[in-house]
Amino acid sequence: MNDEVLRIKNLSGGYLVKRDNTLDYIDAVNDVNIIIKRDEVFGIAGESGCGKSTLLKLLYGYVKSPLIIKKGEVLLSESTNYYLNILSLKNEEVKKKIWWKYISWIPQNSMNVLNPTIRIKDHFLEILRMHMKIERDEAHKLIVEYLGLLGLSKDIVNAFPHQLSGGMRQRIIIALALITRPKIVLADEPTTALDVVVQRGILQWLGYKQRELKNTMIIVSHDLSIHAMLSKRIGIMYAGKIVEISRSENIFEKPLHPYTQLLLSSLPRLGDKSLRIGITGSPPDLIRPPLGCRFHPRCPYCIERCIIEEPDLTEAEKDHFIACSRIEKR
Amino acid sequence: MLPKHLIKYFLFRILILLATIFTAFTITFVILKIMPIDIVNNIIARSMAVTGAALGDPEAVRRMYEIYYEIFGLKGTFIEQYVSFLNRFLTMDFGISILARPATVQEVISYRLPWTVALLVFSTILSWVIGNIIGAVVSLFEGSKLSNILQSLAIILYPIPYYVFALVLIYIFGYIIPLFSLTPIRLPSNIFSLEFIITVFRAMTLPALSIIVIGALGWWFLSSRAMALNIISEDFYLYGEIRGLPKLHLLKKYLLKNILLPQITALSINLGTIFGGALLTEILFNYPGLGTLLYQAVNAGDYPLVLGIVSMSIIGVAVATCIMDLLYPLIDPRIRYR
Amino acid sequence: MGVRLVVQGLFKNIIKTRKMGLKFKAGATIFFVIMIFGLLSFLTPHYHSYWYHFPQAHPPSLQSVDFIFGTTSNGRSVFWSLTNAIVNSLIIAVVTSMLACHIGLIIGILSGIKGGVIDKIMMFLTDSFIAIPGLPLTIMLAMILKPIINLFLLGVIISIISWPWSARMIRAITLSLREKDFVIFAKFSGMSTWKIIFSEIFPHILGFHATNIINTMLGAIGAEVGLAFLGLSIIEMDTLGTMIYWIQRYGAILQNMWWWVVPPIATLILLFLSLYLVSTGIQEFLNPRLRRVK
Ligand SMILES: Nc1ncnc2c1ncn2[C@@H]1O[C@H](COP(=O)(O)OP(=O)(O)OP(=O)(O)O)[C@@H](O)[C@H]1O
Ligand code: SF4
Ligand SMILES: [Mg+2]
Repeated sequence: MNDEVLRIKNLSGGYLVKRDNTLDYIDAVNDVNIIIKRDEVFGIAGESGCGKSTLLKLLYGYVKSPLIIKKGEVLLSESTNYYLNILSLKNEEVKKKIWWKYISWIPQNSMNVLNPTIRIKDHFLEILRMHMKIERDEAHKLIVEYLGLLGLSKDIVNAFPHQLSGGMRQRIIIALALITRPKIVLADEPTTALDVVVQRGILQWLGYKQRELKNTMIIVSHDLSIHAMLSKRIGIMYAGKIVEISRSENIFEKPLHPYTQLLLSSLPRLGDKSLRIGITGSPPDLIRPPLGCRFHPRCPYCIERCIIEEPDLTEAEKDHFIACSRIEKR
Repeated sequence: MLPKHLIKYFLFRILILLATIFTAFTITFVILKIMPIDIVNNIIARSMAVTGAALGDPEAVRRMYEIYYEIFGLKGTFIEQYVSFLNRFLTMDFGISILARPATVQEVISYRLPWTVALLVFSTILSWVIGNIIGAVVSLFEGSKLSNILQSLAIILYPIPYYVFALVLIYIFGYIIPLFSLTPIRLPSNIFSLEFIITVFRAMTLPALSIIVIGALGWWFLSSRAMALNIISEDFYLYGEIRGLPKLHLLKKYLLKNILLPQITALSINLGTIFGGALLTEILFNYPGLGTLLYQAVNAGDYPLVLGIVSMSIIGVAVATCIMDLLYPLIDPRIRYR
Repeated sequence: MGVRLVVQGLFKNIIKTRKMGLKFKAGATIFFVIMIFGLLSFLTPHYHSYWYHFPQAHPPSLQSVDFIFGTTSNGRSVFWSLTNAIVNSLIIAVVTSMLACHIGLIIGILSGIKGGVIDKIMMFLTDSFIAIPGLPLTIMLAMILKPIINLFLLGVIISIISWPWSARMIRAITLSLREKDFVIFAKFSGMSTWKIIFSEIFPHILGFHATNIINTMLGAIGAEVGLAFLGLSIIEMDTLGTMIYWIQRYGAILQNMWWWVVPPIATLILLFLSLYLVSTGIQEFLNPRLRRVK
């Protein structure tokens, strides 16, 4: 049986911005290839500004100015050998057929994503009416029941967003993403705005829900500890490109790409008293990304070849892909 | 039953209303009191010349003198001056109008007031609603031709006072397209006849139009558009889009709902300015409201009537602002459920 | 020392005008043209002060400037009226904005810096003035002071309703500045209040103050026209308001005397537009977030 749910093929996209009469292209996602499997939690990690959110937007089909797609496909596996390219659909079609039916979204910055002037229950109603064609009265019953199942007090249905704590709001947003039982849930920095304790609780809850619903979840975060907690497989992104993909254990125990190694060595570890080395230099300008390997200006192992030649993502070990020209020679 | 914090809010707001009216009158008192004395004598003499002769009644003349001396703080101790002044302003008791004698100032004003209130309520609400909706809708098409045209138009209209724009309208409709009469209207006696409605409508159209065009396409359009552009880039709006909500729903529940609440506050702050502009607009169109009355009173040197209208305006605008503030929590759920 | 800083601040702002946007340039150009037109008033011939210099039977000769805009029903030249009106209206506007904006500036800064009881009292006073509908109050004052009215006094009357808005805004800006690091730092380093006001606060208010002066001028020109509708401006003089007053008085619009009607109304609208463009131009320049990049 086919266990793929989503295949991202040669995906490139970015922002067209006008500045002082010149049109710049911000190359935020460049030639990304990922296969995502059924019932897995896939993590995407990388520094701020490397294009993680943009990648999510593209594969969700939420493309509006200034974001454009350069090339590539996002294939949704509907049945065993039938694939639907999300990017080939029209805006309205994606909205009606894909969003919340197959894929739903847990947005970044949960503090301000609920409409301050409508009630919590209205947010649920909107989704039920738009995507499941369930009307008011029935929907209302359903919502109360659903929130009960999630262990949320049913009093909050009548609350306004500002009356709830940040953690509560985040739970609501997660509940909103799961109410239609979509196959895939995208989560963009689901807990960044919360304090560490609340963050832990929510992540555990999120992981528990995923195991229960057996859906696929793609979690984007710059915070590797979140991936350590939830992700089964991780893709490391640098300057619009995926530089390494493998199972969590591999990424954390024996990372192969120099960027991943630096990223991990800058994390504090329990019981380790040596000084952490940060990554020197700053992330590249995505309007004019470096030629060759995009990481070369900051890479300690850089050789001449890296400056000239752009490395492809290749399978270095079983189930462990990396994009680095020096992998065998080091 | 209203929640406790709301009752507290209401009581507090009414207290503010009283304090506002009270200080406004005190300020007027001080301003009138520092008027040079010869000017005061001058205008008293002038009014007496008009009224004294006409009334032909020494008792009436004596009362007139009394009112003037009280209003300009020329009689009795300071406290007495202040108290009698406040008393006159609060009750609008300025005696007999010179212009409309033997009617009192109160009578003349109460006859004209409904006209002004009708014009203001009608045109203010309409311009507010139209301007805000256009502003929000246009923000969705930012950068399009229509949006650019409307914005340029708004920038031209924005700084023009109603009454200057009214002159343009008069020129267009009075001369080029003579649809509406600009002569003083005469009302049919039967209030329920069709003729009455038509007359009122014709009297009201042009002054209302000048207020609505400037208000809607200038003021409210610009501020609503600016707010809408901000909201469109806010997280909750983007999340609404991401959830695939229909466009119309986003416009109603996400854009307009979040624009209209602050715009209500803006409206209540600007009520005084809108009111002043409307008074002057009335004059140009011979509309039978307080503005035209004020014009006639000024020209006839009818000080009692002018003072009456000033006092009426202060109380009227303060009360209207207060009513809007009292209604606000009933509209904004966030205050209601705190 | 304080003065030097203020001058420096002004100078910096002027230098930056080269980078001002389209709105500012368009507005400044229109204003400049109107001003040049107004300056022609210094050439006003003496006969302009008499009514019926041009009886209807004897229109002005084709060569004279009087012919450009024609004459009024009371036999005066529209051209010279307009040039004088521009200057007089601007004088009223400048008097008003100098008074109102600076009273507002002083009260606003003091309120914002001192805080406490002084702030409360001043703001209560300010709010009460705001609560009084401005127009009826000015009308009452103009009517009472009519016997001794002149350009300056008219400016004073209009300032009475204009200053509270300035005070409110300046106070709000001062309050936000007070929390900024550089002011807190200045306070800790033992600078006196006056020195802080002049060296740390004032330069930052300057930009707003400039736009405020222009907006107040705009309001004052409008207010004068409003008063003139009621015959409460200085009827003997030419101002944009009194020109419209006479137009109304003689029913010039309904007689379609467009050569008399159009010049003052068009000038007025252009003047409003130019001042508004200049003030938003400065605002957008000082606060680039207002400029939207497409
Ligand atoms: N709406 C936009 N218009 C123009 N450029 C954008 C826009 N959104 C993002 N960018 C640019 O695209 C690049 C990638 O942004 P993206 O939001 O995908 O990064 P990210 O990895 O999600 O970062 P973060 O961790 O900060 O969320 C950045 O350089 C950013 O400046
Ligand atoms: S390709 Fe070269 S520069 Fe790029 S990561 Fe590998 S070693 Fe470093
Ligand atoms: Mg992001």
